[in-house]
Amino acid sequence: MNLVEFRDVKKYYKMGEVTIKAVDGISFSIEKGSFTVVVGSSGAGKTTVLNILGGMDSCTEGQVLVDGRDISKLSEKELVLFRRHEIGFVFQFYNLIQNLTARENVELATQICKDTIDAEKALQSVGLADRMDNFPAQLSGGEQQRVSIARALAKKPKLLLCDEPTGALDYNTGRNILKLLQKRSREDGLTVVLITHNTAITPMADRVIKMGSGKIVSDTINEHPVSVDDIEW
Amino acid sequence: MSKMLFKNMLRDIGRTKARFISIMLIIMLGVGFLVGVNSTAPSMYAVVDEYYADKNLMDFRLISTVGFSEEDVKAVENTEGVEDVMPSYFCDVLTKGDTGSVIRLHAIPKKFGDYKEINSLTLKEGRMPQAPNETVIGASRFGDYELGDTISFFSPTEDADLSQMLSVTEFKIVGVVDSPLYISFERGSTNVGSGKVSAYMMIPMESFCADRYTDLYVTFGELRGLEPYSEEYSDLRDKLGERLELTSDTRVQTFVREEVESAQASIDEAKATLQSERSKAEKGFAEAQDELDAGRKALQEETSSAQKTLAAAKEKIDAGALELHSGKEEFAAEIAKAQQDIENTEAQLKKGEEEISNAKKDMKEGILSVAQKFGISREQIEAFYGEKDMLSAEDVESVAAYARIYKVSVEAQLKEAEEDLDLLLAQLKAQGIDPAENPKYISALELRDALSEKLFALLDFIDNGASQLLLAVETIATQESTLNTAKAQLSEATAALDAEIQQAEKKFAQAEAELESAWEEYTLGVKALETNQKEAEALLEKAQQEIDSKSAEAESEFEKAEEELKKAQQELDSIPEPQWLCNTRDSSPGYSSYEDDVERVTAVGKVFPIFFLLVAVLVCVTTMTRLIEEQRSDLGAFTTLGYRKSSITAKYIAYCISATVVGSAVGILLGIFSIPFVIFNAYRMLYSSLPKLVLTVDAGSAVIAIVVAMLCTSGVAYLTCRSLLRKEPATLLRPKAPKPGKRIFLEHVGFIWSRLGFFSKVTVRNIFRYKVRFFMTVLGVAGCTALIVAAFGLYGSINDVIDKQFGKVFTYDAVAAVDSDTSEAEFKEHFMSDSRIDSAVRCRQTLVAVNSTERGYYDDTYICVPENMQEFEKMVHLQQRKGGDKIEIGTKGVVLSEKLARNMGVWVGDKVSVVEKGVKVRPEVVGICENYLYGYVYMSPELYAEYFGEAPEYNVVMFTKAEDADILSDAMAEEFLAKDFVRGISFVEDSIKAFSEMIGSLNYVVLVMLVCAGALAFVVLYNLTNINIAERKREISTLKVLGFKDTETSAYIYRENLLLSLLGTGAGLVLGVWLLRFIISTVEIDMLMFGREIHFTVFIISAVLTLVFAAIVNIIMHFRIKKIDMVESMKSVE
Repeated sequence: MNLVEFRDVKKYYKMGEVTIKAVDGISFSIEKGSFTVVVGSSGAGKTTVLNILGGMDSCTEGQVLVDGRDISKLSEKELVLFRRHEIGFVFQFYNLIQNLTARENVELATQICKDTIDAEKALQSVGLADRMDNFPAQLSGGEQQRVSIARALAKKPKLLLCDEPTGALDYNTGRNILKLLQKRSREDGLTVVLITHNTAITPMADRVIKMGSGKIVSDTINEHPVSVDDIEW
Repeated sequence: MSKMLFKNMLRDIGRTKARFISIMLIIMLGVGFLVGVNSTAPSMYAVVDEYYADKNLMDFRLISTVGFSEEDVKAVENTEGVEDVMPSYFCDVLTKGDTGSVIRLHAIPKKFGDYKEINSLTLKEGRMPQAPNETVIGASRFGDYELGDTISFFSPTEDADLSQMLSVTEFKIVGVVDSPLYISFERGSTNVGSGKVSAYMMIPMESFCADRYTDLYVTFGELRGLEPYSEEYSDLRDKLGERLELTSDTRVQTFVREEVESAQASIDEAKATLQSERSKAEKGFAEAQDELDAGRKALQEETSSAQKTLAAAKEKIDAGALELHSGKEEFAAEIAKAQQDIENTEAQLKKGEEEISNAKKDMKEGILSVAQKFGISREQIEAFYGEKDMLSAEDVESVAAYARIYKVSVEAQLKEAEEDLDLLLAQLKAQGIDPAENPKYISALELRDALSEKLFALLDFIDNGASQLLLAVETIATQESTLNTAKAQLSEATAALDAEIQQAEKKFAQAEAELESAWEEYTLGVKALETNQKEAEALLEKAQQEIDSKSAEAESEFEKAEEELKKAQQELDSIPEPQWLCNTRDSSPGYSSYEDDVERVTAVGKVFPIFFLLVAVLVCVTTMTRLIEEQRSDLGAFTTLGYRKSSITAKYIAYCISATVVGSAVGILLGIFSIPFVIFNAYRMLYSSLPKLVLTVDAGSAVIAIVVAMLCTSGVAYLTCRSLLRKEPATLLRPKAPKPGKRIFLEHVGFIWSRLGFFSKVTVRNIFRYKVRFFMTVLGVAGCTALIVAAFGLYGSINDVIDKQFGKVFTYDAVAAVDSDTSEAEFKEHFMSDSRIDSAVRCRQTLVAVNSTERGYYDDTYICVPENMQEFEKMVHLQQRKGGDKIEIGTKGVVLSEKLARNMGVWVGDKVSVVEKGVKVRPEVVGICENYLYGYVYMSPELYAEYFGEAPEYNVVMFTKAEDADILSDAMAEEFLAKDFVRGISFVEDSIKAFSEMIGSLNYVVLVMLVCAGALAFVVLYNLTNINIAERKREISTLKVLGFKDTETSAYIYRENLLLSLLGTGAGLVLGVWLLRFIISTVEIDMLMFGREIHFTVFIISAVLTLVFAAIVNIIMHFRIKKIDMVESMKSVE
């Protein structure tokens, strides 16, 4: 069953006289519970896809169905609720609130949702049970990204979107984060969409969508995804 | 700074427009306010400087107790250094019906000789007088009158005659003017009437008829070019004043020698002359009286002799009349008898006539009755008669002839009838008919019988009747002739009698006429006598009157002359001690208070703008710090490229300076073109005669403000750059490590922290995280609140003056000014027993000079001595302001009003000097009472009597109206003014109205403060929120990605703002109280005490208004937050 379906989605930006086609008519679908990686070089339009999917940006044309609902038709307010209840987001730079402890950062998300995972449990699940009362500045990059993931997971999202989650991390820490994401996907049946320019990690995905110049270059289903531990780059 | 850096700076300005503008705005506000307020005082001085010079305001106004002669003027002209001299007149007069308002009349300034005109007027409306009975009135008190009104003046004191001063006392108002002598609404005080001059008017020089000038205006050349209120001016003026004093001394001595002594001599001489003239005149009148009395006696004698002659004549006439009367009566009796005889004879004759006429009638009847039988018709008989009443003998013959003819016819008829009868008898017999039974026969028989009878009668007449008739006719004719003879005799007798009567009557008439003429003569005589007497008497009377009136006239003339002499003596005696008063400009009402007012503005200018500038600088500091911090990577890049630190720093300094310069320039322009004008226009309500503001920029403060602003902003830029540039370029290129989160002390206070909600915790922690912003926001908001508190507090305090003075301290409804010699009975009759008046009390209330040391006197200070304490306490509540304890006046000392006591620096137990009626006393202060308007010294009548040696002369009546009486009407005022001992009446309601108008100008100041407060709140809050949002863009966009609604996102930020605003408001309320106290102590004038309480509502309004300002800023910011793109969250940390 497809959780996400893009139907001929286009996103044009007008910069004065020039029209930039950030996304130029793409269609794909993502099955529920799958782990999808969107790869492409800078400017391939993968971030735009993620933004549209996350309800942060609207498409110029086409339909975006999430769990059967066309989110391209939603109003601003509906999009807010869509983000709040259905999307979890993991940023490249973690985007933790510096003035809040790890637990409070998670609580920031749970405060506004109804059906949530307890902040402590969420942090436990990412392996940060003993750093809960630390401020972001007191945590390492990997730990901060874990807090960020815990924050996303605590909302019990339908869809977890990750924007280069390892981009700001060193190799090993990056692997751990990817492992964590894969584990959550496998164990909890969470649908994960991960954006990266690093093609090396594609084998871990159930599905790999390659983008270039706003178009889908290839859309392959990985019949045998491998564990992160087996990937080297 | 290289070209690239310059370009980069320009681009920075473009990119950070909001920030650049906000630095500009806050600098503009701070610098503009500082320069604006500081330029106000110099501008206000410049206005009067120019105005006084333009109008050639006098430096000295000499007033003499005895006036100035031409020689006096000349002496002043010759005083060394005097430039212009202008002698003039003035006097104080009362208007009738207008509560006896005192009007000061001045002569319209007029060039004297070759000198320049002094104190020139400005015509504001209408025209200048062209006739002696026209006047122009000083502008600001113009309200009571209208152009074209005619106004009459009355002498303010009963013993002074206005006509000695003015040749006209009724004037028509033709124009409105401003005089430099009266720059404010103040009109000064006077020693007549109510003690206060209510308006001044200017009348032509010619309308004054006094022989000596009353005042003399003088200017000195050396004083020109000196600023009017400067020390140089007053020092030099005092020195020059001494010269005038010298002149004055000389002239005063001359006056005593020339005027007073010579006047006494001439009075004495006149007295002697009067005495001799008087006795001479009296003698003349006595002689004339004697002559007249002799004339009167002669007249009496003449009259009585004439009366005697007339009486004799009258007697004679009366006797004649009696005789005539008896003669007439006798004659009348004789005539009556003769007439009786004639009447009897007439009756007999009438009887005889009747008998004859009856006989004639009978005869006619007889003839008529017979005639028919003889076949003579009635007509025929009548024809015989014709006009006559009896037939003549011929007629009888004719009748007999008729009868004879008729006898022949009757005989024939009888024969025929007999024949017929016989024939018929035969016929009847032949027929066998009894003739006796036949009608035909019977009728025929009858006919024959009738005819035969007729015949017999005829025969009788012819034989006897005719002759008898003839005889009768003859008899009657005889009788008739006898009767006619008798008749003729009678008429003769009658005619004789008539002639006799006529004759007698003629005689009588003659006698009567004679009598009549005699009577006429007599009455003429009587009348003539009367007329003569009357005429003579009238002449005498006239002569008497003439003597009387002439003597009375002479007497009054003498008395008048005596009176005049007495008056002249009195006048001479009353000539005050000759003295010249050498007044300076300070004596002009409003002149020195203008300086005080300008100084007040200066004082305000010292505090407010510095506060504003401080806030401005702080805002710039935070903004610049943030700007440079944001551009750390640029700094790194430039450094790496090899730019010198100094040129990089220069770029930011240039950024600051351009913002500061532009902001300062705009601010100074806005400031100097608004604030001095607003403040001056507010003051112009008091100083309405001043011309428009002459803007004088306080260059010093402008330079200082710009320099301070520049130093602060560029100093911040320099320091921030330096601290950044000290680091390795590589460090700069790396994003700045975000400021780590920190626990705050509150988190250790578990019982509070655990109670806070999640978002509250975040808010509290954030507030403490950004300490500069915390401080800035609180300061800005507090400043705003403080300004509002001060503004509304000031408004309330000013209004309290009215509310408390007339609501709490004075509770009477009206005050009537009465003649000081009004008796107690009059007071009781007109006030106590008036049912519309609830209670009334008499007081002595008059302007007095009061002081504690030699520090000078205080304007508008009254002494008040109530007659009856019990009644007085119902209307004037003497109590302590704090605590409200009642104060008794008592007999030991005086009670002072609070402001007066404070001005003098005295307290209970101290002694003060009070000068009343020229007597100076030093009572002890026994109490200090709440009072807001003017100054009062309350004294008991007992103490007054003890000090001044006489009972107080009560000159005002305070009264309250009965509950349901409608007393506060014009009709009521008129009614009271109609009483001749009432000089004026004023209702508290009117006072409240007048005072409200006066202090209305201060509302502008309140408005300015409110606008400033709003501007401050906006700029500070906008700026800080703007920085806050800019700094936290990433955080905000993250929240949005997490699914926060716009409102929730804004609320996340605003919780901090709200808390800071609340803290700032709280601080501001406290600050506001201090600020208000400062303003009140600066702005308050001597005659006023503002309310000292701040109403609770002021705090509420101020807090609410501040929060409303904050809310408006937050609403604007909400749209900025809404616009933040979520994509920001994806960006790497810069």
